[in-house]
Amino acid sequence: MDDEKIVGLYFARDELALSETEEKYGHLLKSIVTKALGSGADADECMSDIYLSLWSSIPPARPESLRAYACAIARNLSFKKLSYNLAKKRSADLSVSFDELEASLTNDAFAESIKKIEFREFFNRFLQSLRKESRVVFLKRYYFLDSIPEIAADLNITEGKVKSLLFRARKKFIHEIKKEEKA
Amino acid sequence: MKNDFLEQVGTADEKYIEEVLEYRSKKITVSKKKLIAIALAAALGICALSIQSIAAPEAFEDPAVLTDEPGRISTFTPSKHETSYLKYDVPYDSRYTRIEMDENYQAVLDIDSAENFAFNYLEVIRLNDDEGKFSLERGDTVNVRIEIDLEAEGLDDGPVEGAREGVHLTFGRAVGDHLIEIENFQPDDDTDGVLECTYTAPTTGEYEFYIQSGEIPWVHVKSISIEKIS
Repeated sequence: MDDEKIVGLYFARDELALSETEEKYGHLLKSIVTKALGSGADADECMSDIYLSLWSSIPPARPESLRAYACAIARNLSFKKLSYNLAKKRSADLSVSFDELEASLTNDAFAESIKKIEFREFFNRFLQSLRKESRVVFLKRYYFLDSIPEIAADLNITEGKVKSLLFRARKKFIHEIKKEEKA
Repeated sequence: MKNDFLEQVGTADEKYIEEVLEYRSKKITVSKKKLIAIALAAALGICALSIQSIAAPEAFEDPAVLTDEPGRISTFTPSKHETSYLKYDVPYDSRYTRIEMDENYQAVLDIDSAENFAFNYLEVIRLNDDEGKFSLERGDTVNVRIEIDLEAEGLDDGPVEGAREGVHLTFGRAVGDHLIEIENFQPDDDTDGVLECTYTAPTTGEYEFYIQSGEIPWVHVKSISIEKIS
C-alpha cells in the first residue's frame, strides 16, 4: 500500500493504518531503535510508543513522507528513552560507540552552545551546505547510527572515504557552530 | 549527558532523511586523465587496482608505472581486451605511492581491502617559462603564487584524519624524472586562498619547477604564477 493511502487510513482512524505501517516500515524503525537502545525490552517498549505516537499525531499532521516522519519519531523516542536510562544509570553512554567525535562535540560547552542558537534552523542550513554524498554519510552515521563499515558497504565506498567525509563534515560543523554562536 | 550532539542531529528535516533513504551509491571511476597519480598516504595493506582499456590496442605499449617514496618502481601493462587486476602491497614506510598512467587507461580503484587508506587523485603540473625551463644564476630567487579555490567541486576523496601529510599541494623542482619537494602546502579552512613561497637557486643552471595538486575540494588550483624576483 502506498504512503498516501496509509496516511488516509490514519485520517479515517482505521487501525489498519498501524499494521500497514508496521508491515512496510517496521524493520527500518526497529533498526533505528535497536541501534540506540539494543534489542531488549526497552526497544520493544519504544516500538509500541512509536506506533502510538504515529496514531496520535496523524492527524493533524499529514507527513509528505510517512517513512521519514516515522523515522524521526523512532529516533526521537529512542533518544528520550536513552536519556531516561542514562539519568537512571541504566545504560552505557551511546557516544562511547562514536569515539571519532571530537571533545568539542561531547563536552558541556557544546551543550551550552546549542542552547544559545536556533539549533534546528542552524543545523538544517549546515546540512544544506554539505555536498549530497557527505550529507548522506553524515546522517547515516549520526542520525541512523550506522557503523562505518555498514555505511561503506551500503554506499559502495571505502571505510577510509567514510571516515574522511565524516572528519570534514564534523570539522565544518564545529567551525560553523562557533561562527553562529559569535553572531 | 554526552549524547547532546547525537540527540541534536535528530532535528534534521524530513527531506534530508528521505534523501538518505533514497540514496544510491556510485562507483568510483577515474578516466581520461593525461596523468593520474594516486597517492596512498600512510597506508599499510594491499591496494587492489584494476585497469581497464578505453582505447585502441596500440595504446598499450606503455605500461602504467608505480613509484613509491622509497624509490621502488614497478610497471604494469594492462591487458588489451579485458580488465587487468593489480594487487599492490603498500609498504609501511611509504608516505605516498604514485601510480601514473596515460589517458588511454581507465583506473578503477578498489581499496576495500585496506582499512586506513587515504587517497587522492593528483595531477603534476610542470611550470615552465616560454623556453621550457628557467635559467637561474646561483642566488636568484623565484616566487611562486598559487591561487586555490577552497569551495571547488572535485573528486570527493580526501585524506583521512591522521594521514594528511604529503597529499595536499606541493611545489617542487623537477630534475629529469625525479621530483624534489621544495614546499609542501597543507591548506585548510583557515587558508585565505593564496599560497606563496620563494626558492633561491643553490647553483647556476636550468631549473624546471612543478606543482603537484590534488583534485579535492579545498586544494583545487585556480591559477599558478611563477616569476624571478631577484
